[in-house]
Amino acid sequence: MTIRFVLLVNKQGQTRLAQYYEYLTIDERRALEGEIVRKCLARSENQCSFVEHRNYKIIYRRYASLFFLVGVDGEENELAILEFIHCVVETMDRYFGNVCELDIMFHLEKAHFMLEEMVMNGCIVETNKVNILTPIQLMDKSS
Amino acid sequence: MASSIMESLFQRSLDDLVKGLRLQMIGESRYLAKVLDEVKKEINSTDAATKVVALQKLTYLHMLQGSDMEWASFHVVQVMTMPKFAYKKIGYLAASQSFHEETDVLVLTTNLLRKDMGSKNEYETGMAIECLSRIANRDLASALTQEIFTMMTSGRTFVRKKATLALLRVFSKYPDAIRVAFKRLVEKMDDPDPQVVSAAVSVLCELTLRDPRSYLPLAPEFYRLLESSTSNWLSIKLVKIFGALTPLEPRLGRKIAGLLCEQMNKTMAKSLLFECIRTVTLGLTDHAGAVKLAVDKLKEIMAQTDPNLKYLGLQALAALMPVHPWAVADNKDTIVQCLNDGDPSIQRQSLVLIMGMISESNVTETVQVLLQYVRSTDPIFCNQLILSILSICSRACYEMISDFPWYVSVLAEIAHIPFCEHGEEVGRQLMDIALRVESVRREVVKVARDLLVDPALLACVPLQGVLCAAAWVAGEYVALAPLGAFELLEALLQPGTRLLPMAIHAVYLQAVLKVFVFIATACYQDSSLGQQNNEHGSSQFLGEGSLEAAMVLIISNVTPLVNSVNMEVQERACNLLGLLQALEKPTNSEDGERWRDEGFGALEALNEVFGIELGPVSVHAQGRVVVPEGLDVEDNLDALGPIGDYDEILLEAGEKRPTSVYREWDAGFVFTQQSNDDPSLADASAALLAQHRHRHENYYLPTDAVSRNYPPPHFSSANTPTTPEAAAPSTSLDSSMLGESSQLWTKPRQTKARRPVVVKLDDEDDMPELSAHAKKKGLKDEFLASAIRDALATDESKQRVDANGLESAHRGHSSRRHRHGQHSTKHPENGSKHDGSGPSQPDKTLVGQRIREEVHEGKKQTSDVSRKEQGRNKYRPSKHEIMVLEDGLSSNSENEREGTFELKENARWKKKQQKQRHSHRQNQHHARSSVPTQADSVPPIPDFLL
Repeated sequence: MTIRFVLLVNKQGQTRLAQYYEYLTIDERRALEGEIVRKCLARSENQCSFVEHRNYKIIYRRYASLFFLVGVDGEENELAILEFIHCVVETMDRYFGNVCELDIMFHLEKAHFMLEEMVMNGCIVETNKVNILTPIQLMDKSS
Repeated sequence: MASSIMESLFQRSLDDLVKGLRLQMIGESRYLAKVLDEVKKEINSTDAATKVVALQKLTYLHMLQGSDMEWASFHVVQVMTMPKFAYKKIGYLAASQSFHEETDVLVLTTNLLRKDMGSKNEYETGMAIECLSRIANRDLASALTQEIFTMMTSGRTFVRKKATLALLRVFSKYPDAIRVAFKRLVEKMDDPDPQVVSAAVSVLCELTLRDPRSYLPLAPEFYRLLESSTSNWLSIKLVKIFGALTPLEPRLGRKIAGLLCEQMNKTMAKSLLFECIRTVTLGLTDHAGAVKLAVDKLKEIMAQTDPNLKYLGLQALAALMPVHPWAVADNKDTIVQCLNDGDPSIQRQSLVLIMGMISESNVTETVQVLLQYVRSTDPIFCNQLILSILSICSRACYEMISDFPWYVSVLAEIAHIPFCEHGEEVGRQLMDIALRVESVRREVVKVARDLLVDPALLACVPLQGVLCAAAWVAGEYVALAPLGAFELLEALLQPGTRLLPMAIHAVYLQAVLKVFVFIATACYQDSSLGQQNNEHGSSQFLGEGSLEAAMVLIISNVTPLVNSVNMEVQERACNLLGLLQALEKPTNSEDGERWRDEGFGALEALNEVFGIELGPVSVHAQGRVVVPEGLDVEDNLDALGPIGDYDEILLEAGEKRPTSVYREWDAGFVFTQQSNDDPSLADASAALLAQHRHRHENYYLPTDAVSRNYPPPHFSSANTPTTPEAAAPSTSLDSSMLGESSQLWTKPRQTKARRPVVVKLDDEDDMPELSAHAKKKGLKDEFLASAIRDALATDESKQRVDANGLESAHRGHSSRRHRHGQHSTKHPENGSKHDGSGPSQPDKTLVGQRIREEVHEGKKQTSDVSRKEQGRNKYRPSKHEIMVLEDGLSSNSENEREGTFELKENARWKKKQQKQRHSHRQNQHHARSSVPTQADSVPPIPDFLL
């Protein structure tokens, strides 16, 4: 498994979206998120975007007030994951129009659907924004 | 009906919920409880819309607040079955968020998923596949393998892609599926749609990383794809696959080196470039051209300011270091600069590189540079630096150090760094060096003195370990600091020592005893000399009256410690005061004469005991002690407790005259009592010690041979080389048993003229290392691998049976053996997880510890050294325990289930396979001739590579 989890955290360190590709109990997730967020948020702009934690490699990127964190296993390509994070943000931007924390809070399930289209079993499947958004837009139309 | 309308009218909507959550920052928990109560009511509603909204709210709470939603799993399944797509989607989201392998309602989803996978709406199908890939357990995977298999040839790209990717989960949960679907997965690499190709490669990439050997036969396919790939994502995956494959097959490296170089030159994407470099470092290290190009690219990258690139560049260099150290040396300046970087990760990485490059020739300069950084960086990195310096310099018995006085000064400098948290280690090394390197002892004693006299250090908690070592060194080698002996005594007794932990204070007191004995002996010698020739009235080293001053100093400072709560401190204080009392000078001069002789005798004896030189103890020393015949080490010794008690024997056998005790061990007893008529305190203790040594000869270190007039076994004293004949004791003292290598005895290491001799025990290099490199591999992966091998072999193995029964039978045998080997290698791994990697047998350790404890009684001054030795002997499970562990592994319940399951399912699979083989023969053009056919480990790849 390559991507183990995707986290979206605000500046205050509150988790806004969490998607795990392996099963962890709620308590394990909370503990893990707490540790990672503390580690990553303490880092400054001119430090590198990779942090090693437990047996994960965390790759994170900050967009305005939101932190995107992706936990991968040791063999994953860090720069490719950075590109993937950027791709997620662009996709969300296209759907919500300049995405912000509130968009994600009120449309959490949409954000999850996007991630589902992009990542499956921890592998990146789709990076084409049109392909990712089609099923979601279709659903919006039908409801 | 009316009630449901009311419900939906007054239901809190999702937006309300989120708004409420955002408002209720303080009273959150009460608000949450209220909302959850509402949800519990609403979710039972008969109205679909109300139920769905309730579930949606619950999912939100689960995702945002981590509320439990296990209880609602049945409702999730209900919503999943709703016909409306939007509702269904909410149900599926809830399922993929909250279900896991043990969820009990998974059974109910099998048919639902099957139905949705067959839906006309491709998004519904995709949703079902997606959900399966999240929640599948073994049963679900086995039940739906057929559906996934069919969908891989669906006309719709969206479905094909998802089905292909779902295989990864299905394979890992249900390895038998590989027999069905693997061939088709390989075919998907030829799919007209690049998305599907990418999905297939993703799955194969994951599988390859888990068990590369099985996928070597697919190398030609991967090569072809990489050649024609236009997508960076795909190229990265393919290059990664080669990174796993090339270390196994050198010919493959030769083949792809050119292609990789081409990719490195061509690509604009840094991610792909890094993947290529990583593959070069993994498998192409002997292709000079590729390595050169990679290093050039790394140099370009490192020159940039982007911290990400810098970090990755350093990592790549670290990977290259073991094989191509020149690559690191080339970038030395950049690496050293990175030590000053603002990013701790980069600092750490560059430290790793610098440590890797340290050699005997540059150790001095490098450590000096690092020490400069130590003073200027933050405490955390500072301690990392210190730890690295300490560990690299002490590696393999200080093999890198030739200038020991310099290294001792480095240790002293480290001890004075304010943030230093590694006082224990510094102290350990100071003691270790003092023990092992005779020529540098004077410097160590000087450093110890400097540390001891500084009252400011006493209050510094992290440095107490250093002070403990300093006190021991000062006491043990006080003879090397004769001018400072009195000063040492003052330092050891200064009032601040009360701040020290009791254990360290006890060490201080023992050092006081040693220093005092030294001073007193010197004074006696002087006074007796003074009697003979009157012109030398005063001492050479110590001033007149310094003995009296020392006694006053000790009595005033040690007397309060007699009431110490710590037993060891109390005991040592009492011993010390007792000795002083015995030496108290009588008033009249006639007694003074006698007093001098007696006191001198006692001091001589003590001095002799302290004069015995201590040596390092091998970690494996205990293991080498041969168990004497008739000693049952498996036996529980508790019952022997009262019998084995040494004191009791003394009492019982003692009758009335204590000396008769010794008759018991009379045979060959070579102890010469120095003052038989009036045995002093010291004599008695020396007698006990010698006697104990006699009883437990085997367990004493060779160094003890000193006391029996053998030449000292310390080849460190280079001016008096010991011959093996002289060194080997005639009695049962077997040197090789105790860790001192006989080879070393005969040939003192004199390879480097410059370097002082370091006492080194023969087996210290193979210190048990933590099994950090032992890769953990799940049982599941093994099943997967064997299933893949079988799948790759399926087609032609049958034909081969007909054609050449012998050959294939042999292959079957070897493959079985191979797999058996895999299983058996698990056992030691598993065992080592539980053991403390101790060097000796458990029961022997127990016995050994007892023996060692007795040794300690007789030889208290070694306690500091041997305590360390004891610490190294950690617990290790007995043979019996290991066997139990192994049993547990081999009778793994999963294994059993696997077996029984296969029996049931076998018939069905056979049929399916036959059908497949039939259809397969019809599409012969699909079957690649190069697709591998062998079950065994290293299949030849002739067409492609030659």
